[in-house]
This record gives sequence, structure tokens and C-alpha cells, in this order.
Amino acid sequence: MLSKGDFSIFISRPLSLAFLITAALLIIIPIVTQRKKLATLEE
Amino acid sequence: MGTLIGTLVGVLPGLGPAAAIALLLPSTFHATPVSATIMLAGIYYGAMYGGSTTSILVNIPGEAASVVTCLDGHKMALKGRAGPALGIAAFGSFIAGTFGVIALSLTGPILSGVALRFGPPEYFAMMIVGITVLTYLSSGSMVKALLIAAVGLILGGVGMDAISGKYRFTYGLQVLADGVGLVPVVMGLFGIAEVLENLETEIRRDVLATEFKNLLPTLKDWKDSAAPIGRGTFLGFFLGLIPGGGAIIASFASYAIEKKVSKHPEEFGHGAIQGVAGPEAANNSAASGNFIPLLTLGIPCNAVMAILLGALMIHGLQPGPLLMTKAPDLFWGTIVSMYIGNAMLLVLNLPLIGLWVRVLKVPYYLLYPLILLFCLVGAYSINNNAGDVLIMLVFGVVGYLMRKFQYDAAPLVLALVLGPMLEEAFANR
Repeated sequence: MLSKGDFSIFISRPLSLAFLITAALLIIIPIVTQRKKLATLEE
Repeated sequence: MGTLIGTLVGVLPGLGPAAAIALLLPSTFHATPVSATIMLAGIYYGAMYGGSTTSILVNIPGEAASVVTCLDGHKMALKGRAGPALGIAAFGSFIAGTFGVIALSLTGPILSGVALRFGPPEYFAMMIVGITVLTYLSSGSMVKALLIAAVGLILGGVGMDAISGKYRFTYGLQVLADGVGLVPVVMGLFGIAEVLENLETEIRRDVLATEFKNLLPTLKDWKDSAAPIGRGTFLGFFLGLIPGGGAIIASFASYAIEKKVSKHPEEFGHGAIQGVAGPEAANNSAASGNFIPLLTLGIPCNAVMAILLGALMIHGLQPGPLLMTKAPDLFWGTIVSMYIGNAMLLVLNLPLIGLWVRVLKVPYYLLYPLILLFCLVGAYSINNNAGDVLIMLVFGVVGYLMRKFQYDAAPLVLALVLGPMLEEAFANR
């Protein structure tokens, strides 16, 4: 084991961090866009 | 053989490349890994070629990536230009497919070198991106896709835990002791479910009666198509590299771009040859690009690649950066076969067009029982175990219900394949 059980290895290595940020954005962006659309429709 | 079956699969509406690869996977168990991979890869990119034939002649896409070809390809056929439409689709596919293979052979070694520096945390994070991108791009609701991916991850955990040696989620059932097999799941989700769904709908296949003597596009057709083929080739290849991206997205994106850059966008949808050349080049180029993440990183970017990954693992090979050094015959053998395969497809698609038109007339009451028979025999032959047949039938019904409620099966397959790899990378971080 590289990290000896430490979860911070996922954010301390730049490539791993970049991948995880991409994954998070791919989930967050559609949610935010959909909410904005709903808000516009309600107005 | 693979390209021939691929063309057949592409020509027949209602049978996609994922289902065909799943059906034929058990038949490759006794072949060498190289032969098996070459055949299965041939089915995938062969289907991209064949799909255009039905789109142009019957206005029914043979497979999903050829949907967009219906728009202008069929209109060209109605105007008596079926020959040039089929011709430009085949030549465009050949040019794009060959470019894709050249790019694959050039970039593969470079990417493998980069991937060798990846450790378990990078692999874990990259697989998370792969699953997320596929759910982001999957048809329908993203929440549904994420839910299905989670189900796939849980299914991937069924069976003996590789680290502790304990059984998980087996509920004392012997059939689940070795885990939920990829092949029966895929056969059920794509093969049985496809048959069940198609039984409900009557597909009319009015094949256009047309002359196929003049299949070669004219000089003007070539002039009009050269730039769309070039743009489609580049676009398709780069979209094919992205996890979750692939032939379907590439063909739609290419059509949208061609319409945008055209001086006569009003001609699109009424038989513009650019609307056939661009998307057909893009879907074939994407099919080649799809192999890069699989062969160099070991990450499948769509359901078909996930099945191919499963096939390689069944043959005792682990796709990834070490594949090129551990099994160079497989890596380079597959690439060489793709060069030959692309040329073979040109030979198969143009002179044999009359044969494919006759194949289109095979009645479904003969085709569907045959598919079911293949599924049953194939599932049983994996381990000579009736349990696998049961798993396949269960997933056939699950797949049918998923289609009814608009759940995409691709995230489930990808998560099922990546689940154990994800867990291993997480444990070794």
C-alpha cells in the first residue's frame, strides 16, 4: 500500500486530484444547469 | 470473419454490436486470445460499416451510430442516388477507419508509456471518471444512470472477496460463489432484452428497389464529401478517446458541424451527401479511437469495450500499459488486423451489397428464435453450468424492464467490469 490507509493520497497526487475534480464536475454541472432551468421556468 | 459478422449485425436492425459480441463471446473460448480479440474487434467496427446500408436503403438504422445517416442517406436513395450514398458511406468509413488505426498505432505506445507512471490512486480516480462520463453521456436521466452504475458496482462485488477470501452477497447460493459473470449478464441485457423488446414492435422493412450498378461516387460527390470526411475523421477519433464518448456521439456531432459549416444548410435532411460522408467517417474513426483507452490504460469507454475487456480477462490477459510488453502479439496483431479488416470491409460492403439487401429480408420469426438459441447454448457453454443460463434469463428480463423504464444498460456493464478493478486499486492505494 502506497499510503498506508491514508485517504489523502487521492488528493495529494496531482493526476488523481485532477481526475476526481473532473468526475465531481461531471456530476455537479448537470444538477446546477437543471436547477437554473427550473428556476427560469418557474419565473 | 469478424468483419463479415459485424457487417451482418450492422445490416440487421434490432441486433447491435454489443449483443452480437456477447452472443459470440463463448464461441471464442477455445480460440487463442489474439484470434478472439481480432474477431470481436472486427464485429465492432464492421457493424459501423454495415449500419449505413439499412439506414440508406430502409430508413431504419442498423445500429445506433447510423441513426443520423438515415436523415440524408435515405433521402438520397429516394432520389435515385442510393449507389453514391452507399459508396461514399463505405469509402468515408474506410478512410476514417484507416486513419483511426494509424493514429492508434502511433499514440498507443506513447500513452502506454505515460500510463506506466500511474499508481493505484490514479487508476482508481480514472475509473471513477470513466463511470461518471458514461453516466453523464448516457441516454436519459443522469440520476438513473448513476443509480444503475451503483447497481453494477454492487454486482461486481458479488462472490469471493479477493482480499479477505470471504463470500459477499452470495446468500448461500452456489451459483453466485464465483460472482456474477459478465458474459451471462451481457447476453441477458443486450441479447435477450433486445429480442423481447423487438417482439413488441413490428419493424417494417420496405427495401428500396434500386440499381446498385453505379456505386462509385462522382467527382462532384468526392469534392463535396472530402472536407466532411476529413472533419468527421478527426472529430470521431478524439471523441472516441473520451471515456463514455463513442460512435453515436461522434456521428451526431459531425452532422451538426457539417450543417453549421455548410453554405447550403437547407439541403440537410433532403439528401445532402455531406450528411452521409461526415457522420459515417466520424463513427468509424470513433470506433478505432475507442480501442486506445482499452488497450493502453485498460479502461473501457463504452459497453462494447467493457465486453471486450471482459473477453480479454477471460483469456487471462489484463489490458493496460503492460499489455504492449506482456502480450505484444495481441496489441500489434489487433492493430494489423484492423488495417486488413478495413480493406476487407470495403470489399464486403460494395460488391456484396445485393447480398446484404437479401439478408435484410430474413423474417424475424426465424431470426429471433436463433438469437435465443445462441444465447442459451452460449451461456451454458461458459462453465457447463445451468446457473449461468439462469443469470442470463434473469438479466434478460431486467434488461427488458430497464428499456421499458428508460434505464441505460451501459453504465451497469461498465461498473460491473470496473467494480473489482476499482476495489483492487482502492485497496492497493
